[in-house]
Amino acid sequence: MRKSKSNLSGLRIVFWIFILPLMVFSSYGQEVQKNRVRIKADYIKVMNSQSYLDIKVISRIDRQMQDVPNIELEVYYEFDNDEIPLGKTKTNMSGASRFILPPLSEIKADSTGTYTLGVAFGGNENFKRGSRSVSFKDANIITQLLEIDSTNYIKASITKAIDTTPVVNSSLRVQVQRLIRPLKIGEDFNYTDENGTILVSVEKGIPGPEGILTLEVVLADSDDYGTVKAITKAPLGVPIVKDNSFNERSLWAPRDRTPYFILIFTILLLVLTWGPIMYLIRNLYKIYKSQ
Amino acid sequence: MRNYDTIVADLAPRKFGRRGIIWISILSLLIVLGIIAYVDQVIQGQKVTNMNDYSLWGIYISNFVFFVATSFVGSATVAILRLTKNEWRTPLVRIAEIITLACIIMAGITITIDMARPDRVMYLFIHARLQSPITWDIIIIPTFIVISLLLLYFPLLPDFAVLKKYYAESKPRLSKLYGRLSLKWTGNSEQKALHIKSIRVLSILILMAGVLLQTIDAWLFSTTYRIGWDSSAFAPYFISGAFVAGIGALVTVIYVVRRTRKLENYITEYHFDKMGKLLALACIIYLFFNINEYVVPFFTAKKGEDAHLHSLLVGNYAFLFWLVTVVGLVLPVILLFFKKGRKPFSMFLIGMIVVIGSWWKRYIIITPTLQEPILPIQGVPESWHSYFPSMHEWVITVATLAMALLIITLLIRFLPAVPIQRTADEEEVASIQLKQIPS
Repeated sequence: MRKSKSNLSGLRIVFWIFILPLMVFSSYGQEVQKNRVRIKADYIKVMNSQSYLDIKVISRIDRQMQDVPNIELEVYYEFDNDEIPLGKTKTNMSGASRFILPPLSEIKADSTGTYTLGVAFGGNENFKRGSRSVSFKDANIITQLLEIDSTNYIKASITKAIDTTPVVNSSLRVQVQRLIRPLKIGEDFNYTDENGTILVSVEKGIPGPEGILTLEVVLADSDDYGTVKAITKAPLGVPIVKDNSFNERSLWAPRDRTPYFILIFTILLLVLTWGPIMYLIRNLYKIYKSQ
Repeated sequence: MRNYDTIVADLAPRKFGRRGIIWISILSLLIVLGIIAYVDQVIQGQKVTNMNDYSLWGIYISNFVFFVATSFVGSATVAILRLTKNEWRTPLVRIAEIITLACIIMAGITITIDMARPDRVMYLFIHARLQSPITWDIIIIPTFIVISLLLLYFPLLPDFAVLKKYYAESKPRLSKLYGRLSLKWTGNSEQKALHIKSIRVLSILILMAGVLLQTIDAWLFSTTYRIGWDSSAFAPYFISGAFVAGIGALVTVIYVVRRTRKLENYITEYHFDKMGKLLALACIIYLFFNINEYVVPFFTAKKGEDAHLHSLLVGNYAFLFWLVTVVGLVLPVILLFFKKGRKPFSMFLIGMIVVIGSWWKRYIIITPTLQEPILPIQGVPESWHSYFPSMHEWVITVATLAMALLIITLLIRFLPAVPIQRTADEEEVASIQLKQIPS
């Protein structure tokens, strides 16, 4: 009896020797390593349209930069050391989100006319909290279409919103909206003159639906003004002629759209060969019957 | 002058001798080996061949083109010689008709072999597009098979009736079969009128279908924009080539049949002399088209075409190219200019050279072009830059050639190789003419 008790206690010791390290390590394993999020926020203003923040959240996980999807972010603006909330947004599967901003008239700027917007993540079981702020001044781009000596131009002027003074020596990009990515026109860098103006020629022959080109003048990623974009519809392009040849009878069309000349020629040849063949078979029958 | 009974006895089909049985056994063995290789190809797929993304048409297609070309012999001899009223054609036409039928059947089978999966033949009909030359091909080949069959069958009707009578006592079962095949031919005026009219229609039809077949075969290549094939003269080039291959094959088979069946009195040196002249003419025409195909691009070739010509004239395929051109084409023309060159045995050797040359010529037309793709691919395996058939391809191809020879052999075994009734009629006419000449 005693022997069996001592055996039992021995077994318990062995059991705890094996189980204890497992419990210790498993408790370590359960402590989740939280990753740090990196938030990127770009202010974009589209003239005569809405302004928005393009937000992207990434994190370094297992030594690789990965998108952080489905996390809630708070957007606010700063004024007098206060953070005034503007709303909430959630990242999509690519870790991106676009937050439509209210009109700037509803957001307070500091004495220099600088707006400061912030994006904050409160943290969760996988990621640590994080935030990013972006500061900008308001600017406006006005465009105008001109024709000088039979050449079409787009003229663009950029001014500060606060006092309508021109923004000089800034590089504006002029481009035509395309399906995949915009088509740049003019010089690589179009610097504004003392009036904050550029003049870029729109070359002929650019195709557009019904000849309408959607021209964009962009102040891109400016440290002072963020991204400002003016979009203009210009009837300066060549109308796109829709290619309907797929539905036509052609050599490369499906068989139900065989060109008529091939159909007629083939049927003619079939008749010319199989007609006499039928005639000859009939002659065989007539020979058989003629005795 | 031979009498009717002698003619029938001489020309009626005969059993094979010992050499005939050995010949059939060898052909059968080659066919069995080919069937085994083909079954393995169907099971394993085209990977057993050496075809690749560059050489996607290999030996099977060159063999197919050879069969199509050789099948032109029916059009070349039966139709052309008949329409031009060349009476010396009589002992030759039956063999020409047999070669035509055998070759066009084998052309159809060879194209099926190339498709890897035989069920794909069905798709050619189900999904046929009339814009595609392949569809034209699958229309013309069955059509040509039917016409070739009729071309063989119609002139046989009187002969079947003769054979029915000839074997009535010695071989009653065979006689009955010939009787059925003769369609109760009695040779009455109505039957003769229908017969003559039908053969006239067939002569025109086989000529038209033959030209169509060769043209479609040529357009299969020339509509693909490929270097070496992109030629407006490809159809006449193919027709003239088919003329050479067909007559070469005819001369060879005629010599063998003449010797084995002892038909020296029917197929005479005169016939070989005539065939020799016809073959020389065909070779000269084909030589002209060859010069046209290679010399003009030699002066006007762009970069890709230049590489193709280089590979043919001095490159990888130079030996084969010059062998085919000089030995297979120029040498026969020179030899055929001499009367000795047109003697039966010389003609047999020349015919063999021409047929072998014609086979390799198709290989030369197809393979080097495939080595020059329209859009060259970077970093392709080294093996893609050359092509030589695998053992499977060789065994299957040899089997198809053996099968064509077996069809020819069996048809010659059971059909009169030389038309009996027509020969008898001509002899009768000749004897009447002789009697009419005052002594």
